[in-house]
This record gives sequence, structure tokens and C-alpha cells, in this order.
Amino acid sequence: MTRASSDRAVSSAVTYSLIVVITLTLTTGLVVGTDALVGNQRDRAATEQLDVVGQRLVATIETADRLSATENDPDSLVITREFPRRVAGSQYHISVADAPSGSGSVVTLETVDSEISASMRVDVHSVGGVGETEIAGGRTVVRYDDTADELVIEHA
Amino acid sequence: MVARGPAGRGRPRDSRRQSRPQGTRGQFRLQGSRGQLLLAGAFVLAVGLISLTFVLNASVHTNTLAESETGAVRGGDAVTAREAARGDVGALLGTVNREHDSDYVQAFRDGLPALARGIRDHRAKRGRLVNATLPSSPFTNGTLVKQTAENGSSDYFAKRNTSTGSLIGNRTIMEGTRVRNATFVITNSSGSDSPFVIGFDPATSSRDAWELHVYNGSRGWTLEVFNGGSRVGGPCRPPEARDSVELNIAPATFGSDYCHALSQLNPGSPYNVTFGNGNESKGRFWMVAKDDITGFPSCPSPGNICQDDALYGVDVAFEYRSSTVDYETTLVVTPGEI
Repeated sequence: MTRASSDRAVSSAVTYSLIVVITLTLTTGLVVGTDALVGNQRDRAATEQLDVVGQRLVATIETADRLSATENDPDSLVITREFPRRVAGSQYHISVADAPSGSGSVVTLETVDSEISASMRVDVHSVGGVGETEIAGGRTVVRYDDTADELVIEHA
Repeated sequence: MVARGPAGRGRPRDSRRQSRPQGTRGQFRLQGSRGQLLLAGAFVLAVGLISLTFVLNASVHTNTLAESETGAVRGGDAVTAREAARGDVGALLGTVNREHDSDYVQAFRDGLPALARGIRDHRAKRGRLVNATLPSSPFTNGTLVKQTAENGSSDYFAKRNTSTGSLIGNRTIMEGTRVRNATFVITNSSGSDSPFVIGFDPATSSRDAWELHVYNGSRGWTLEVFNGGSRVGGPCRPPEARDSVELNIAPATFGSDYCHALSQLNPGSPYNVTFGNGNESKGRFWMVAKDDITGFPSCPSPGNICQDDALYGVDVAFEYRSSTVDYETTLVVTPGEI
């Protein structure tokens, strides 16, 4: 009788310990697993957002190119776009550089802290090209520069 | 046999009574700790799920933004508005050329404000400012050259020798210029051996000459396009047999059907316009040349090529403003220019 009571007490302690260990293990696993999942989803979301913003910027550049395709150069051409200042919680910057092949330009969007990037190529025909630049993401202006006969990307 | 007295029974009972509350308190402590642990775990799990929801929602929001973007925000509406204005102004230009012999400039000046008001009102409903006005010196004068063959007696594309009366089939219609709205209605032509030839020869550059060969052969009316002596694309034929065929060069139609080979025509500028085998082909034509042309009698001159003053083109100051686009340019409107 006494030993049985003693065993029961031991059993409770063991059960308690087991519950604690199992709960801790499960919780830790969930936290680690969720953290990894959240991290992956965050990267995917950032990549998709960079891609979308980049495509919208390229489409805007192409529209500016079509608006410049008149017999006379435009007297004024300014297109202002409201792009998000952050993608998936990260700041990003936009850079435009000449394409390595020599024709066209490459627009690259890259987050500041996680090195996620998206690049896309753009060709313009009615003007001399797109000026090389690097600006912070956010409100962006595509403008025709009649002095240089090129499209200029600026942070507004 | 052990006698159990109240005291003997009572002790274990007492001890149970004493231990039961202790055990109950211990269980409460155990259950309380376990509850706190479960609560903490649930909290962490909830935070993780909420973070996941935020990230997924951001992704969905991104896709929604990408799909909901309109051409107006991107500036595509400005292109549409500009081309619509160009088409409307071109139509007005054609109308005043057709309906006003001498006062076409004033007719155009009178017509443009009403046209611009229509364009402005149409776009204003969507929150955009669009305007079309005339700058200083907007007009480019030209010459309408045509052969209408209204009497139907001498409607050859050839030139008649004034002394002998014979027909000269190969002739230059105009030199060193550019034309628009060139349209031919060929009513009679020989076979493929001697087609009616419309030539565009570069006047100054070293580009190859373009030739349009039109004939009524065994398979009906046929158009063949040549550049530098080589045929461009395949021949074009109207779908059904007909007595005459209309060749409209700028929209690249032959017998009202689109002709891909004709759309390739690109003679540069300036060029000479020539006719070949005009003594074997009959019909009508009209075109507006960019410069002042001389050498033809004034219209009307039925059955002969005649000329008249006309508007070749007009410059229009175009303005478009929306919440995202500021755009100003000067349009040079020359509808149907080759």
C-alpha cells in the first residue's frame, strides 16, 4: 500500500516531466518550423513584389517610349508612379544600367537587407536610351530629358 | 483478526484526509504549470500563424495590385488619347481638303476648336485634361494631283503626245517629294506581261526603288510588290472577280483586302512617283504631294491629270494631363503618308 502510493507519486513526477519535455519539444519544433516557413514565405513575397514593381516600372518606361515616338520630341513628358516604399517589410532600391549585350537597359530591384533581387530588360526605340541611375524604391518618376535625348528614372 | 477501532480506521483516513488536500494542491500546481506551458506554446504558435498570414497576405496583395493596374495609371491612356486626336484631326484634314477648294485653311481653323472641345469633354469625364490647339504656322501646304476621268474618254494613266497624239506609257508624275493618301482605281489593265507599274524611286538616297505591279491576269486582279527588282512577299488578289480594283497604299489594301506585301513599302523620303505601261491601263487616282507641283492643268480637267492646292499636313499642339501623366507634344498630322 505504501509502495503503491510511492509509485503513484513517482509516476506523477515522471508524467509531469514527460509532459514538459514533450511540450517543449513540440513547441520548439513548431517555432523553428514556423520561423523557417515564415522566412521562406517572406522571401517569396519579396521576390514576387520586386518582380511586380519591376514589371510595372518597365511597362511605364515602354509607355514613355511610345509617348516619345512622335515626329517632334515631346515638349514635356513626366509619368509619376506610386510604387511601395517597402516590399515584404524591406526597403529596396532600383538601378538602371546598360545591358551587357550593348543594346537596351537592365532594370534591377534589390532589397537592402536580404539581397533578394529581380532584374528585367527594357528596350526603347524612340529615344537614345534610358539613363543609368540608382534610386530608392517608392514614388518614382519617368521623365524625358530632351537635352540628353533619353528617359530618366528619378525618385520623386 | 485485527480489530479496527475508530482510531485505527481513523488514522489512515486522517492521513488520507491530510494528504488529499496536499495532493490536490499539488495537482493544481501541476495542472497550472501545464496550463501555462500550453498557453505559452499556443501564444508562440499564434504569433507564427499571424506572421505567416501577414506574409501570405502581402503576396496576395502584390498579385492583386499587379492585376488591377490600369493603362491610365501607366500612361497607356495618353497614347490612346494622342492617337485618337491624331485620327480625328486627320479626318478633319481630309474633310476640309475634300469640301473646300480654296478656303480650306480657314475651314480647318474653324473646325478644330469644336473637335478639340469634343476630345476634351470626352476625356474630362474620366478625370483627364486633354487639349489640342494650333501652334503658330501649323500648316504644310501641298498639291492634290488627281485623275478623275469623269468623261471616261481618255482615262489612261499615260501622257498624250501633243504633236502625234500617241500615248506615252512611262512617265514621271512628280519628282523629289512625298505623297499621302495615294489611291488608285484601276478599271482596265493588260495581263502580267505589261502590268500597270507605280514606281517610287528614291530621289536622293541610294535606296532601292519600289514598284507596284497591277494587272488583270488569268486569276483576276493581281498586285505584286517589288523592291530593287526582287518581289516582296506573295501576290495579292481580291477574293472575287470584279471589273475594277482599288489600290489604297497607306492602309495597304488591294480590292479592300489587306495586302501584306504592300505594307512592306518603305521608299524613304523624298522620292519620285512614276507610272509605267500607263498606255495599257485605265483608271483614276488621287494623291496629295507635299510640295508645290507644277506641270498639270488646274482641276477640273476631266480625263486628264490635274492639280489643285490642298493641305498636306498640319501641326497640332497636344496636351494630356492626369494624376500620373504630364505630356505635351506637337503632332504632325499627315494621314496616309507614304
